[in-house]
Order: sequence, then structure tokens, then C-alpha cells
Amino acid sequence: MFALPRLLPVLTLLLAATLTGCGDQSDARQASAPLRLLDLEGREVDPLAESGARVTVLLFARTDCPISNRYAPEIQRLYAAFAPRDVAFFLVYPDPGQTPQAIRKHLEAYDYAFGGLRDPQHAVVELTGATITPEAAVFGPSGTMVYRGRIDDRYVTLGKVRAAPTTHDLEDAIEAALEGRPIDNPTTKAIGCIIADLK
Amino acid sequence: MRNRGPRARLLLAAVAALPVGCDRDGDPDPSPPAAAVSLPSEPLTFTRHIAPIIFENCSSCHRPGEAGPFDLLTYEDVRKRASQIVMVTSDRFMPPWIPVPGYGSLAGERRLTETQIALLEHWVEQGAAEGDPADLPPRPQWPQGWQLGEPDLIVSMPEPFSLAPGDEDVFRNFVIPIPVEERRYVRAMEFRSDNPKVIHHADMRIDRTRGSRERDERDPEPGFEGMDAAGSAQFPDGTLLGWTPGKVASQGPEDLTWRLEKDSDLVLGLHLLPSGKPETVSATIGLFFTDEPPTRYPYSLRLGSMTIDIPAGERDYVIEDSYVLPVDVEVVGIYPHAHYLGHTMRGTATLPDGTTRPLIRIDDWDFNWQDQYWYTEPVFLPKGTTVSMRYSYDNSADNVRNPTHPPRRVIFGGRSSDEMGDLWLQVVPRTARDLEILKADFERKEVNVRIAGLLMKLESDPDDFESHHDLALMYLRLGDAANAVTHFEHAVRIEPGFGGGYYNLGLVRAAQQRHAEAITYFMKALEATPDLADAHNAWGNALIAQGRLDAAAAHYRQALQIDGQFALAHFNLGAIADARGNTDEAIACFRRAATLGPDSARIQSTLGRLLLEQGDVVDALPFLERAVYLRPDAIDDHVRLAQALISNGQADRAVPSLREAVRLAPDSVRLLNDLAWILATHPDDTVRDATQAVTLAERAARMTGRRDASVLDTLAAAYAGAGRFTEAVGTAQSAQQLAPHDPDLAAHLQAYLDGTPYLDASLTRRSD
Repeated sequence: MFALPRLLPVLTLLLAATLTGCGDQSDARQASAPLRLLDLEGREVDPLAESGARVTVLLFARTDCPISNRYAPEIQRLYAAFAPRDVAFFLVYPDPGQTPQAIRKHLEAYDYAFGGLRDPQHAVVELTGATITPEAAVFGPSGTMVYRGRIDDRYVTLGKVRAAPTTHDLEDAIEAALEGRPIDNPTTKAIGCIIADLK
Repeated sequence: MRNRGPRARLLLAAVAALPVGCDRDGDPDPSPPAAAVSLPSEPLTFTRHIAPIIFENCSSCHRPGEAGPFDLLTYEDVRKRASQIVMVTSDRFMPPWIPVPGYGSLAGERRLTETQIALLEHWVEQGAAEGDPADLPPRPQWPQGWQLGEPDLIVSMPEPFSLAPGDEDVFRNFVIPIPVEERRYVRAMEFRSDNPKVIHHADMRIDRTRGSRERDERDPEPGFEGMDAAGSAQFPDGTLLGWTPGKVASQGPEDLTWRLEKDSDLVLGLHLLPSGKPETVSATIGLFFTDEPPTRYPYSLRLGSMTIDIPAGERDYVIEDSYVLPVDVEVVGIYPHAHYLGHTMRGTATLPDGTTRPLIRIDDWDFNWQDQYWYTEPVFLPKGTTVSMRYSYDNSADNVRNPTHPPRRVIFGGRSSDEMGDLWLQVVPRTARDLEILKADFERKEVNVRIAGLLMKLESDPDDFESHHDLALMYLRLGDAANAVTHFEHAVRIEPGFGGGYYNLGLVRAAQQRHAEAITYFMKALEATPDLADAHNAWGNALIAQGRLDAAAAHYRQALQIDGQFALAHFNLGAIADARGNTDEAIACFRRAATLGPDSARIQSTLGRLLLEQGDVVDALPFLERAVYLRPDAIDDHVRLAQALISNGQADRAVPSLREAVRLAPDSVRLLNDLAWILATHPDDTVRDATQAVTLAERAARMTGRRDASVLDTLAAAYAGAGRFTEAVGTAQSAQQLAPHDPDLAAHLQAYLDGTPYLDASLTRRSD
């Protein structure tokens, strides 16, 4: 077998983020650094400023990733549960090739009740350290990132899938962020499609 | 354009020639070899190095309208998933193929070589360049629509199924009536869907009962729920039918056709994978017919256990089963099956000389990628071979595929929360007789396995009338009528509207010669199920046993009113006509029966005999030939066939049947004499075998004490054929002394005196 991290810069990145991210949140985004994303009209927006919500969840997605698509019902379940509690959700599309029109169609097909933003330059991908679709980044009331990683542990590898998840990492992280308490595992490994392929 | 193809092919050839040291045929070592791959020193590009791998191994599924969730056709498609492709190919998640190579040579193996994986890896490492567009090989052309051409019959799911976006896999069985008016022979079947991306796999069975329809009717949604549709639906004639993404339609042996009867339902079991958004899925199956009845019949051997009972937390629960083949077979296909807890699987053949041949090995079973496999070449297993299976199951919490957390006890059953352990082998015996031997022998084994399973099931659900009925049938197969009657009675007591139960009770009583009692059961059967044609037929048979021919005929006619295609009812009416001397009517009935029942030796033989008796030799031949084929041990059929062929001027073709008849009845002078005569005097050199004729005729002469003129005539002809004229003349003279006025004998003697053998021209002439 071949050692994958040697070959895939993206995994090296993941490893680095994990090393520095565990236990403290100093690597997380500085409160002052804005998140620069594009809305579907091409305007630059900072979702944190835009929503003004207590907690903001970014979900990295692509229109053609079967795993992030299979998570659509679960993402919507979380949205329905937390939106009333002042939590904002945004899908973030890092594929520069996916047009606003394709994204609108995707949001509609999967019946998403919230909006999508684009990250064609991977500015927010790099800032958060996200490597996979689907992967979540959760920002707490102070504007710092308190969690980045998987939605749950349903996927063990691409080929090994649990019948039902045994952890609900994203749900737990949002809950903790709302309550202002630290998160046990601020970073987890997401399974899905590799964002670095989208350069 | 002229440059592209050849260059690409050249490259593929070069890659294949690299000393990769993997995929060796028959290599029993499953551990991946050290990656001694050597790669081109030039920079790797998509168009030159990667596209051939992708086109050959990925694109057939990863293209529009096919099962792959995204396309892999262009540089852009591949670049956008480049490191992902490296990841899934190096851990061999893709292309999906779970059997370990080297354990049985399976057709359609989807496996990349170590070299191909290394090429992908280094290409990504070097920056995943596109390269010169001129290097791009032509994209493979896939046939549009049906892969096997236009089907003879297309059937579809009655309505599309709506698949909700939930996150649980869905197992749904759809019952699709197949509108054929008469029996057809199916040579191939092709599965297509409008939405293959949500179908993980499909299996197809045929139900000749109403069992699956009833399950469908009990379930308010289209189809019915369940992981294993089996029940009354079966693999037809032992033919494994299934579809998985990437599978080319009908890879099975070409001459293995199966019988599709009128009023059959196709039961299509779909394992569906929700996509995250609402989906609809429908499926269409194309059937390809042939007019030729099958000449070889496969049979499915199912090894495994029906008493699986895995304690919660058990990491290594093992089931084993084996069977000793009573005849030679060729194994053409294999289908391993378990649910989510299955872990390792082994199928092995141990030959009589002790050598072993692996049939299949799976080290990390994945229910999602189950498949029915064909062997690249049939695997010959001689009589006395032990075929065996060993599966292990992991019911611990560490098994991520375990559907239940925390684990609980899991028992045998068809639901996704139950477990199964089957290893199906599709085998082809050499002859119809061997098939019968195998069937009878294997059924005894199968019956005991099923009885154990049904008793376990009835323990938890004593009022399950179907299980009582199934159990009764199993006891019947073991010849245990008392237990069978007990459970049939249980079944009709629990479900009084169950005509089949009364019918079977009637059959048991009829077999015990208790005909009056049998008739009361057939009456009850028809009260419960008025369209049960079989009950009328059996009622007719019971009346025949009582000598009441008119009443019997009335019931056969009633059976035919319900089902005009009922071969046996036609046959029975013919038998009544024959018994009454109404030969023309009998022949007409038998002809109808023979068309509808081409696999009943009794029907074919009876019609052939009657036609032959009427002097209708040419007409009789095909039926006699079919009878001999279906029932090779029936000496009368061989004799009649030989007789018909000889009088039709085809004595050469009579030789095999006469030989077989001599083998079956070595003391028959007449058979020895006829065979020896043909071998001694046939005008065709290639048919004659004077040496053998002498041996046979000498035996016949000894048996008759040299007192039979025609036997001596034959012996003389055999000597002459062998150039032994002195003995020929002496023997012919002895014959002449026994029958002094026979002009033929005189002519034969004269020929031998002249030093020429006698050739019988009448053997190549029709005698009218």
C-alpha cells in the first residue's frame, strides 16, 4: 500500500490543523478577520455579519458529491431544530466551476431552506481548514470557530457506512456553542469528497 | 484521429507487460505483493496515461444514465476528483469487487493492477496534468438502450416507486406479471432502470404461485418490503438472475436457457439507496426468447444454514456446511449471500483425490456490493467432490456495519435485521439422468436443513400456517406422511381458506390408495380455491383408480376449463381415449400435451409409442428422441427409437440407442443381434465395426446355443466383415441348415463363398 499523506497535500493540511487545533481554539479565526464569501449574485459577504445570529454554521458542499447530498435530510433536520434558537446555516460551495445557477438548482432539488455561498478562491476553506464535503464549521457568539469536522460518524470510510450514526458531532457542537461551553472534540475527521481536488 | 487509437493501445500493452507481480492466475496468496512497479520516466498526463485506465475501468458506470453517482469521462471530471480517485483505488473501494483474486476465476473482474494504481497516484503527485489532447484515446462506445438488442418481451414495474430522501436503505420487492400465453424459453434477460444511481443491486426470481402477489396485496405501497423476496419465488431452472451496477447483461453460458411458464410473475428485489432528495425509480426488464428447449439443465445447490443464531457481541460466529457431489458437474456460477454481519466467506471444492480448488473467497464481506458471479471457464468437479462453505459473522459493537447498537441477538431470516448465510452454486450435470440423481440426492440434504429452520421459526410463531405447510412438504419429501399430514392439518386449521393445504392432504391420501378420502379433500380444496386446476386433475386420477373413467374425464375437462395449458390434464384425457381404443382422439390429446409439456418424458414417450404403433415413424421420431433424452434409463424408449430409426433408413443413428439398450439389458438376444447386424453390414464404412460385431454376435450365438438361424446369419456376416471368410461360410451353412428355405441366407452364403462381405442396403432405405 502507499502512504497517502505523502501524496496528498490536503491530508498534510488536515493533520497540521488537527495538531494545533486540539484543545485550544487559538488557531481558529480571529474575530477581526472577516469571512470573505460570494453570494449567488456575486457580492462579497461575511456570513457572520450577514446573519447576526448567535451561532453560525457553514457546511461545505458541492452539487455533485454523493455523500454531501445524502446528508441533505440530516442537515435540514439540524436546521429545523436550531434555526429557532438563533443559529444561522449556510452552504458553502468551494468548486469554482459550479455556477450560481447550478447552485440555485441544487438548493432547490434538495429542498434546502437556507442559502448557499461560493468560495471559489478557497479563502474560507483555508481559513477554516475544511478539506472535505460535507464538512461543517461552527462559529460561536464571539465570532471564533469552535468546531470543524464531520456531521456525524455515519461514514467510517467511503466504503464503510454505519446503518445509523453513533455520534452526532455537529449537533453536539452547536448545542455547546449555544450554551457557551467548550467542545470535547473541536475538530473531527470528515469523510466525503476532497476539496483540494477543486483548485 | 489515425494516430490516437494505436498509440493508446501501444501504451496499454506496455503497461500490461510491466513486471507487476499481481493478479497472477490461481495465486493462493491474497496478501498484496510488494509494489515492484516501474513507471514511465516521462511526466504523466491524463491523455496519455490516465484516460486509458479511467475509460477501461470507471467510465462504463460513471457516465450519464448509469449507476455511478457522477461522470468520469473527461479530464475535467477526473481532475475534480483526482486525489479522491487515488484514495478509493488504493484502498480498493473502487472499482467495487469484493472477491479475493486467485480464488476462482470469475468473469468480469473489476480490479485495477498495482501499476494502474501507482500511475494514478504519481499523476496526482505530479500535478494531474492534462497533456497533449492528441494523445487522448477514443472514448469507448457503449451501445445505447438495450445492450443485447431488441428484447422479445419487455416488462416493467406497474408504477414507479417513490424513494424518500431519508437516510436508511430501502429493500423493496416488486411483482411484475409476465404476459406470455404459453411456455417460453428464456436465453437472456436484461435489466434497465430510469434511475440506476439509486439502485445498489437487484435480484430477480420467478414465482409460479400467487405467493408474491399476495404479499404485495397485503402491503399498501407498491411492492412489498423485505431483503429476501425468496419464499415462493425461485431462481428459474437453477439460473441465478441478478443485476449490480457495472454488470453487463447476461454473462452466463449461452446455451443455458430457462423455462418461463404461463402465469409467472417476475419478482424484482431492489436494494435502494436514497440520494438525499426525493427520487422516483422504475425498472424495465427485457426478455430474450429462443424456440429451442434447453438441452442442458442447470441446478442450484444452496449450501448454508437456516438456524443462524448469533449472540449479541459475538465477534466470530461461524457457520459451515458441505455436500458431496453424487455426479460430475460443471460449476458455472456462484452467489454468496449474507446480510450486514457477514465478515469472511470461503467456498471450496475438495476433489476425491484430496486436492482442493477454491471457489470463492471474500475477506471483508460488504452486503452493498454483493453480486452473482460467473466463472470465466466452468469449473469441472468430478463425482465424489466435497463442496463446502464457511462464513463468519461479527455481531460486536466494533463492526461498523452492525445495524443495531448496542448489538442484540440475531437469528436467521429475510429481514435486514436478520441474518442469512447462503452459498449458491449454479452447476450443470452431464446428463438429464445425472440431474435427476443430483436433485434427488441434494433435496434430501436441503430438506433436513429446511426442516430445522422451519421448526425454529414455528417455535417463535406457532400460528404461521405457511410454515406449517412448508414443513409438511418437507416431511413429504422425506417420505414421512404422518408428520406431513399433521402439519397440513395444522395449516388448514389455522387458515381454512387455504385450498393448497387440502389439495396436498388429498395427494397424500391418494398415494396411500385411500381414494375416497382423497376425493373429499379435493372437494374441500376446490371449495376454498375454486380455480385450482390441479385439484380437478388429481380428483380425476383418484376416479380413474376407482375405475370411473367418465367421471374422471369430466374433471380433467374442468381442469382444462380453468387452465387450457395444463399438459397433464390433456394427457390424462388422451389416456382415457387410448384405453377406449379412440386412437385418433388419444393422439390429438397427447400431441397437445407434448407441446405444453416438453419436459415430461412420460408424455413424450407415450405419444412416440402410439405414433410408432400407427406406423407414423417420421412423426414418432422427435418424441421418442426427446423421451430418451429426458429419461435415458428407460430401455423401452431406446428400443422404440432404434426401431423407428431403422425403419426410417437411419440405422446409423440407431447405434447409440441400441448400445445403451444392450448396456441396460445385456441378456437380450434380439438387441445384441440387431446391433451386431448393423455394425457388420451397414453400407457406410464409418458405421461398420466388424470386430465389435463379432463379439456381440458370438455372445448372442452362445446364448441361443447356436440354434437360432438369424443370430447365426448375423455372426456369419460379422465374420465376413472381419475378413474371416472360412468361419463366415461355416456359420452361414449352419444357419441354412436351421432355415433351409430362406432365400436371403442362401444369397449371404454365396457372397462369403465369393470372398465378399454382405452389406445390407436396406439399412439406409426407408421401409414403408
